Amino acid sequence: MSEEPRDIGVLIIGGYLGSGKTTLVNHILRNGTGRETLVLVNDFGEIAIDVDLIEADSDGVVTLVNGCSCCALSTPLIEFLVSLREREARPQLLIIEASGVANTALVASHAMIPGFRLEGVVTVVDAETIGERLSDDYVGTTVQRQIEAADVLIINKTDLAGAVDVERASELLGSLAPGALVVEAVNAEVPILFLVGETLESDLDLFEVRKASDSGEPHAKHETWSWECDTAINRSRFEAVLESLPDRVLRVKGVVNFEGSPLHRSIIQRVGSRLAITQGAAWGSDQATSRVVLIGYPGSINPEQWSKDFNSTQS
Amino acid sequence: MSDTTIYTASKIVTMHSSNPVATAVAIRDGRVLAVGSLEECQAWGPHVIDERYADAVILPGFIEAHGHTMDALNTEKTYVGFFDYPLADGSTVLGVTSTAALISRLKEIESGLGDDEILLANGLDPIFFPGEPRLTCHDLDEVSKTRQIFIRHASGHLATVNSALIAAEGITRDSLTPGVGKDESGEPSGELREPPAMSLASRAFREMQIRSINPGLVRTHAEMARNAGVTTSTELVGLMLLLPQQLEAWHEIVDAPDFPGRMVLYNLPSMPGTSADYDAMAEAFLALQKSDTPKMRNGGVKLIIDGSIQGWTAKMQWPGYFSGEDNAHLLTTPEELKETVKAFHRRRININAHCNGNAATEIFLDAVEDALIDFAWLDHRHVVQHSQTSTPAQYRRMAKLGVCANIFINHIWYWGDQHAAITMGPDRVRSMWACRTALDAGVPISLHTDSGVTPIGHLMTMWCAVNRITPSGRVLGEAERITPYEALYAATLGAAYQLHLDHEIGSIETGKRADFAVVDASPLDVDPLAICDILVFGVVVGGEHFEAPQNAESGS
Repeated sequence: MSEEPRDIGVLIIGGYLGSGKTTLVNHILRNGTGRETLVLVNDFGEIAIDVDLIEADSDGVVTLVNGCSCCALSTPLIEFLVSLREREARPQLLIIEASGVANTALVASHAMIPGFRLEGVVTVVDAETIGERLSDDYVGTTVQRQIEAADVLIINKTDLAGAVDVERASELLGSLAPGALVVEAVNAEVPILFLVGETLESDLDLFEVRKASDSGEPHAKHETWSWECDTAINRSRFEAVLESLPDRVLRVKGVVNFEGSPLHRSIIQRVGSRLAITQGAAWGSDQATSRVVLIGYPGSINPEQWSKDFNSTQS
Repeated sequence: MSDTTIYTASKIVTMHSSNPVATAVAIRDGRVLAVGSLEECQAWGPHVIDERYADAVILPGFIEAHGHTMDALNTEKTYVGFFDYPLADGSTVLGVTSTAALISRLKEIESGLGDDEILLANGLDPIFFPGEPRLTCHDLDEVSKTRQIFIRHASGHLATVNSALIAAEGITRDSLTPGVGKDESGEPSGELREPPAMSLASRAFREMQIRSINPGLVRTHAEMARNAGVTTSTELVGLMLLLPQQLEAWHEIVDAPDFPGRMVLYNLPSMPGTSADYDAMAEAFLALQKSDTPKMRNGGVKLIIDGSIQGWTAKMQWPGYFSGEDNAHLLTTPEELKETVKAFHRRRININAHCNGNAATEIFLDAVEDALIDFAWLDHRHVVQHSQTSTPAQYRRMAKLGVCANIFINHIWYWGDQHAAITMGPDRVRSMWACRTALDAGVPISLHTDSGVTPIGHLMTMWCAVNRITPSGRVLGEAERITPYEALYAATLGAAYQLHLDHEIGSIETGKRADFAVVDASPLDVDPLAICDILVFGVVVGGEHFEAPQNAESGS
């Protein structure tokens, strides 16, 4: 295939010191992302990689057997990105671990230069200390900006915090970043496809699984809804439907057969209000079925209306 | 037995308190052998007398304890700042004081460029053109419709470019990168804010990178320093400890016998805003220090804690800024800063922390206090750099903790009126750059130019500290004035002390290196308002003579 080099997807991981950013990075490195991934770490010293995962370690870059590699920043970020996009061997995904005081929105704007595509901003907060941090004289505004910039917020260390703390953290985050997906976690262990992902069909299946498990919980944080169709889709009508979804719909993933590009899958990715439509693998001999999964806050799902809306996008 | 040369002068101001004034100095092996009258110097044995400075005044060489070699990027082909800028060859680029003046300067620069060159200028500071509309690509199109033009503003956070660049780089109304300025009709306006947007000007961006990593800049920097009587300067963002690959190139240039000064590097242990394994970086620093020579040393580390006041990015304590949007943020967490400071302090590595806002000063002092409890290195001389808004309570704390302040005094002249009107407020501005408070509290101070931000040269810093006058004629904080002697001390021994080099340089004293500034009058004798008009004839570095170009003048 002689296609244009594809944009490098970028995921930003932010969060104040001690929130569990590095734990999340370690979690990602251990599990991989399903894509060739370069992780730009803030501090190598904090990275714990199982020795048997390491394939190579040279010139400050550690390469793992699962397709991830990892290095630290030694030039201004913008210079690193400009040189990265000129490389012959480029990763499919770049994960940037921001520093504890980074203005994550500013870091994220680095991923909006040609050659890159921002997939999302994840901010990790410590359930126990977030209230205190937000009112801190020195770093309060910094922490607030990190939360406001997030597409996905991880309330971490829920095992150490009391239920009241977690509830309070959840309220704080909800009021600061109403459009973000809020996930609770222990040891920053969240499903990786939640954070990143060009949607694979297997991702969609996992979303369905999650839907099943969520619905069983007494305090389900989220609801999901999915839609499927075998006819080609009109792209502009489809985009208009996504546009019309309420704010309380936090994440949309999908694989779609658009009438204008019948040979390849079109990958739909919406985090918060950020929509990305990219070209996926060729359908080949597969049945060209469009599938879309939506995830939102409880009560945000409107199956009747949505079925009607999405059905109207068929050409 | 080595040769001894005795230099006579109309006056020698030594800054050595037991022997403050002399008329002759004897030099042997590049060091001061004797200081006093000609007869006293002659008593030290065989010698020759050199009368080249017989009519001049000799001062200890000035020491710039917070410089940057990027000042060498200011040339007649690039500089478009508001204030005049003196260059290495002794000429001066005049400041541009309006958009119209900018355009005519750019036309001049443009006509001298080769066909393939792009026009890359820097130092523009529209804070000084308050009545004028923002510069756009259309203004720059008057200069050229075909050649790419990239004007970097003084803050470094913003550039204005012309339509030729916009077209060549494919910047359009659809460009999604944050920071791409758009006009009312949605077309690119020519403004590119912050590095991601600035990087869209890929050719200019690359060119800027190439120019700024050139170790040869240090040579031009030292020539600018020489013209101002500075014999020891610093690069306060020296080598990255992660990748100090330029060290050899620096040594090759600075150690050369014809290099007209000494350099001290303060290295960054990590990119500002990121962290690192500081224990490993501290060890790396100690290894770097093994290559030190008398002319080029690694002095310690530089930590950057906040931003700038005129950029509203310095972290201020309550009540924050007088007007404008507070974009302040710390570049390190207070917790991390404590660990960082400890890692270097335990290894007796001098730490210079960039603290423009008083909240940054506070967390640095907290970190130093912790480090001192952890490890009793009392003679650390860690420095609060810039210290523009440090409070009286903070100066009292610095004195107790043994922390020095290097005060960015030139702001009084360069941005003093703006600080009064916009950033700090008409009353609070009086307490900025609090030299008197610092000295009364017992804090060792020096003064700096942040060369590149303002021109290197201590006649100007002394003039500011002694007079505290702004371009509008206002005196900012009369109560914070210091005496000419105190200012000269800060510019010589005060700076040497902060660099841990006061046993070697900073005064004209037996045993010390023969580093002098040769001038036409003593700043202690002239009208304080005339300090910046003193002429610099050149410098002596380790007994070697380096003349300033004939047309060189210092100060403004």
